[in-house]
Amino acid sequence: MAEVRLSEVNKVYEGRGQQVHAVRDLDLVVEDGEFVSIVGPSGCGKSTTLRMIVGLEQATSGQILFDGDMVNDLDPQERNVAMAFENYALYPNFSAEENIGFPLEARGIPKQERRRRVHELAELLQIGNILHQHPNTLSGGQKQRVSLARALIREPAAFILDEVLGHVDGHLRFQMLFDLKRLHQSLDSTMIFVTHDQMEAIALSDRIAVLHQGRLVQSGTRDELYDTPATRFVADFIGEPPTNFFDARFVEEGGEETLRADDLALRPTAETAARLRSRDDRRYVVGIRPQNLLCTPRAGTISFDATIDIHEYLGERSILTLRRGGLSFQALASAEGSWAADEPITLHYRPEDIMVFDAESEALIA
Amino acid sequence: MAVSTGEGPTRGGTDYTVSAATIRHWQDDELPEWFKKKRGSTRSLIVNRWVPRVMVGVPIAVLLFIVAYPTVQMAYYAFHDINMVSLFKGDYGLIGFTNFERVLTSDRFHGSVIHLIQYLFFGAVLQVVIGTALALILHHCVRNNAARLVILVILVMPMMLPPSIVGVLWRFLFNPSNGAINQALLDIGLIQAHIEWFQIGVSLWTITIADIWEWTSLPFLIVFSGRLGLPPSIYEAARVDGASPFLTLRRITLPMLKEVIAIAFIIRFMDAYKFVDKVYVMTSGGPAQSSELPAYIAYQRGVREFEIGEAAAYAWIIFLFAIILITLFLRYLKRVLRAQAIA
Ligand SMILES: Nc1ncnc2c1ncn2[C@@H]1O[C@H](COP(=O)(O)OP(=O)(O)OP(=O)(O)O)[C@@H](O)[C@H]1O
Ligand SMILES: [Mg+2]
Repeated sequence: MAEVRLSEVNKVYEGRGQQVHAVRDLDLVVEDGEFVSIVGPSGCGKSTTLRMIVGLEQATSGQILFDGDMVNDLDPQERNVAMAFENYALYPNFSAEENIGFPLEARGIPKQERRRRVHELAELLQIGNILHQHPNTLSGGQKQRVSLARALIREPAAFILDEVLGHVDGHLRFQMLFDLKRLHQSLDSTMIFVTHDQMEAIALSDRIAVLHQGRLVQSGTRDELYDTPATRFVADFIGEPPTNFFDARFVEEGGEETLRADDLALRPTAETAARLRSRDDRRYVVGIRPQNLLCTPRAGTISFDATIDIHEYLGERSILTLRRGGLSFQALASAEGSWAADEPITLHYRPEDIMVFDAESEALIA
Repeated sequence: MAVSTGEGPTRGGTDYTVSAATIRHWQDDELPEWFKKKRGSTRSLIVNRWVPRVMVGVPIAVLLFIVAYPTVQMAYYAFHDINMVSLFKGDYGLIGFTNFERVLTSDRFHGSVIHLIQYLFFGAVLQVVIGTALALILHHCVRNNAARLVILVILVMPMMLPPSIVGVLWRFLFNPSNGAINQALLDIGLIQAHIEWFQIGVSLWTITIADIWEWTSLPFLIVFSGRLGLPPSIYEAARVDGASPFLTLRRITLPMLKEVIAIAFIIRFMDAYKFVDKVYVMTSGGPAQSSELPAYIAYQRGVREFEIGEAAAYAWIIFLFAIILITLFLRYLKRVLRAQAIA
């Protein structure tokens, strides 16, 4: 297992006179044995990053280092990383078993041994019963698991997994998340896991790296991303349901400094207010997570009124979509309460939970 | 007014209670024109059921006329004692299998079968082998599309010449006394004396070389386009899996091109059975019938010597062999395709 380090990596795809700058100045360190997830919306450069680590794509500039050795010029064969592809890339002329065993075949491992290891892994991924089938006859989720198995069968420097759970049903996905985590712990392996499902990232990783338009916006533990998102984008992306944002102005009203968005006035902490006061800007973006809009008052909370628009009952909890004047936002409520559409509700928040972002750069201010 | 999607909240599922203000349907003017038009249209996409029947029926009728009818007619001739004389006199009779017997027991036929086998192995098979190798090498070594195209065009050029012209050309090149090939071999010192390219035992090889020159580009083209059709992603997977180029070739490329290569074989084998042109132009089957192939004898007997009955028997024998071989090939193809669940 190895430490993977990307240093100032750029990737520019050259098309017919068109350039796509897919990855910009990416610095990322994945420690030996660490499980790092790369998350971000579609097209943000996740797969491109992985392909550069694996060696399928040449970095336009910057360095890729495994355990301190630069591997930029090495072929994928020489890098010894295992990858599960987003589009499976299974060998159509092989059965599932041959597919999974192919990396071992390439390493000259005898047939008996190959069989044994393939069957062991297949049990774990619950594909033991489809090993004789050809990829054309497999369902999407089955293909995905075969492709995952093909990556996991080796003992590489690092595992690179590109959206490997996208087509697996919810129940099995939970199981596989659990198995992947266990596998990671028992192999003590470096894993880089790409997903656009933040729940998967949160469930699995030691650290999450958020990519946006080819840039690394923030990398850190789940709590770091959740509590102090570097930008509005991270605040929006991490957390379910997504954060509520309001365009607000920092004004003084009746001796109190408030952030005013339409007819909603949010009170920042004294510390935040002090920081905002020292800036020239008056316009900000204010974010507050639905989890932090409470239906019952607590110590130090401030309240405001709203009207319920939509009530989504999710079993354990409810998501309320609310309106106040022209604003629409969401709050999480316990499932016990009786919420009805068009009814008024009083919400409570703690000033500490208010996030303020710069309106221009969208970076976190406080 | 509240709208509920279910009877009541159910555990695990999502249940919505939505205020009326939130529900919004598409307004008519928000939908694009084509979308509305398509929905309003009642015109069926299914054409009159006679259209497909006619479209298939006409070619079948034409084929029946130009293929089935002559084949049957040929069978009729094959069982009759028919040649120029009897045709003019109008008194030819049914003679059963005599024509077939005559053909199958003749040394001339036996010789030509040996020649055919030699040609199949060293002509047709070699063409497919060389063509496949060339195609894979070109695909592997030349990545630039423009360069590929140029090489492709150059390699395909021989195939675009009329076969008889190719024969004439190579007859000149191989001319023992003043041909370019002997001269070149002498000049670079590979040989000391002129090679008699058209003597017994050599002339069929000479024809085969000319044929390889002309036709290797066909399997080359077929295999090259087949190789282009293989998904690049599995080659990426193979590289990541650590497969050497040779292992990739042996375990992935060739197995996946199996069907395509088989098709190239079928086409070249079909052509081998009707291979007449170069034999006729370069050696006329000689010397001493040493470069005759069955189809050439059929032509010789039928068109030159007017032994129509015997020529028809030749043709039928070739026809039957071709059918057997092609059937075997197609069987194999089907098996391969079924194994991969494509067909
Ligand atoms: N071969 C290529 N040539 C040109 N542009 C490319 C190429 N591959 C990717 N891109 C572009 O690079 C950007 C990043 O693509 P990438 O595949 O890395 O996205 P992604 O984050 O993996 O998205 P997804 O979640 O949809 O898989 C996209 O804008 C894409 O259009
Ligand atoms: Mg991707």
